[in-house]
Amino acid sequence: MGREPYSLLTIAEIREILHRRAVGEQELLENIEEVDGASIYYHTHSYYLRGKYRHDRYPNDFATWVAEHVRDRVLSERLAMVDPSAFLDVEALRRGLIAVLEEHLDSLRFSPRALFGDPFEFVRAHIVVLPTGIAVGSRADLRAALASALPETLFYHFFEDVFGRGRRSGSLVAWVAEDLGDAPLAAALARINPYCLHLEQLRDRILRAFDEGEGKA
Amino acid sequence: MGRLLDRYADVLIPGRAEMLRRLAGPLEGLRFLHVNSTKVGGGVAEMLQSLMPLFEDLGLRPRWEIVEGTPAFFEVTKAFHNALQGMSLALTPAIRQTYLDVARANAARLDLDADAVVIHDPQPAPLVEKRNGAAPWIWRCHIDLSRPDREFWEFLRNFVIRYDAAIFSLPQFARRMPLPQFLVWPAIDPLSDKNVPLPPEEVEATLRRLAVPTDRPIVLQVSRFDRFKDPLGVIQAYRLVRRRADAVLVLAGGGADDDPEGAAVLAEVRSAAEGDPDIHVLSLPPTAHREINALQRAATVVVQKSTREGFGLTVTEGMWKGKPVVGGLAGGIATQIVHGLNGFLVSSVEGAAFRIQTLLENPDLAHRMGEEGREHVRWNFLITRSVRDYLVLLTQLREFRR
Repeated sequence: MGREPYSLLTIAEIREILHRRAVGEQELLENIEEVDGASIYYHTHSYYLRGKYRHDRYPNDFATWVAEHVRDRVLSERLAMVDPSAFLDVEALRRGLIAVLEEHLDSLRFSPRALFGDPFEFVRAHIVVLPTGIAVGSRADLRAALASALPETLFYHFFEDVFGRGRRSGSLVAWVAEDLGDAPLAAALARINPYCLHLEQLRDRILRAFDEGEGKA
Repeated sequence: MGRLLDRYADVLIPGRAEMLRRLAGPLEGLRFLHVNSTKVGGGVAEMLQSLMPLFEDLGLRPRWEIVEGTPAFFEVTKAFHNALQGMSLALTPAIRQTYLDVARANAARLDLDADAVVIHDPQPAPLVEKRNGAAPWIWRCHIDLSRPDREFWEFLRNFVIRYDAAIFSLPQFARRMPLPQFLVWPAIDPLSDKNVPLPPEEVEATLRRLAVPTDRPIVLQVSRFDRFKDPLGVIQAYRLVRRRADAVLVLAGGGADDDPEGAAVLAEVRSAAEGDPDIHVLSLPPTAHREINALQRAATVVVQKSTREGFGLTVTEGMWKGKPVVGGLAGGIATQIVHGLNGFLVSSVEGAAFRIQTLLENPDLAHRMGEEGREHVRWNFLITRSVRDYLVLLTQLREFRR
């Protein structure tokens, strides 16, 4: 049993329109350089909160827009491969996106535009963190709670509480390691890269981490 | 508290109802006033009819008021509506006066005392002149403001900038203004007559009454008879499809009774369909929600081939009934259709024909897309998501003021 129960949290958001628009790749770059970090976070994370998309969708809004509206396949593929988990925080992620865009524009020497598509509209989300009323004190309780948790709860614990707070792993993993004293489970949970999965796949991967480690703790 | 919400729990993602209760908890007793121009007819009234009971169920104290006006006032506001969407308007002193007189009479008549106020669309916008106290005032604009008549927009803007915040349905519908602007997608009520599950017998009886055959696949477009909905383009696409696939086409909508342009478009559509027994043009009254519901449930493919569109909630309505949707790349349609996942986005008659034909010839694909569409709506376009957006916004506006 853990010393302190762990409380699961969830999120709700409202999106704010920023009136920053890009009609071409150069403007996309300039806006990414200047826009509030919360907008970079939104456009690289909101995908996961919108539904159970297939793997042929790009997981960030920049890549999707470049593919569908600018129709520059090379850049869209490169942007899709910018994995937020490889960066420590949103400012580092911003620099990563800028590097991809600059390198691409340098190689082209012109800026492709959304001639037949819509402009890219920058948005940011204001997030409210809410208690779920669920507190767990054991490995079995935690597994059961995560098995039935809202998608937004998984999002909070594996995205918002990790990358959103500029850290490599969140409070859930820390609680499993320190309070529950289950280092193998903590390590297995920390190894999951949520950016390759939609939230229901993430749930499956989490439960597998519990089940594969059963009896080893 | 929460009994009405329990009725939604069956169709929501598990846990979402509880999230709403937790969001609403700190807002219990909040007097939440909404003002618009009508209680019946139109998408805004429909949405408020669903939202108000849910806010009450969650412990808020919602109130819904409407502005009363003269026929001359509503003529003027209809012209304003068109001006906001780009038609030119001669904003004469007499027109301004008609608008302001009625708005100020309503401001004197209405009890605007509340803890938060949402004013919908331009008709009641000047009520903000009467605001007092610390309650946040929010202007909810359901109209595309991207290309307004400049002179009218300058006139209206003077009222809008007195609000604390504005809400738009899409980022591209908004205008740059010195106030925070939020994004709230429109949504459907899964328990309303238009969307509630219907027994198969009712669907069959409705189609029989409307003389729509059920022995062949049905391609359906539901929309007002409006040129921007491109009903003639749908007929052209259907005729291309008919060269290879057997199906009937149903064009169902209203708006022709009180709108001279709608009547003209309906006449053109009837003329284009004349002599073809497989094209069914149905002019339905605005209250025909269950008939629309039955048609959408009976359809094989739902089409919304708009060339210009607001949000286009008929796409979501079709998806909620498990139908694949072929939609024009306009307005909010691209937000609802994830191309290749729950439907197809098209930009031409030929594109529409190709995708309709693909879906008619591949029932498995159509079924799979329909399932994906329903799930997409469950995540993003149910009325409870709208409730959530309002609750988060109210929470945030309170935070801003602390």
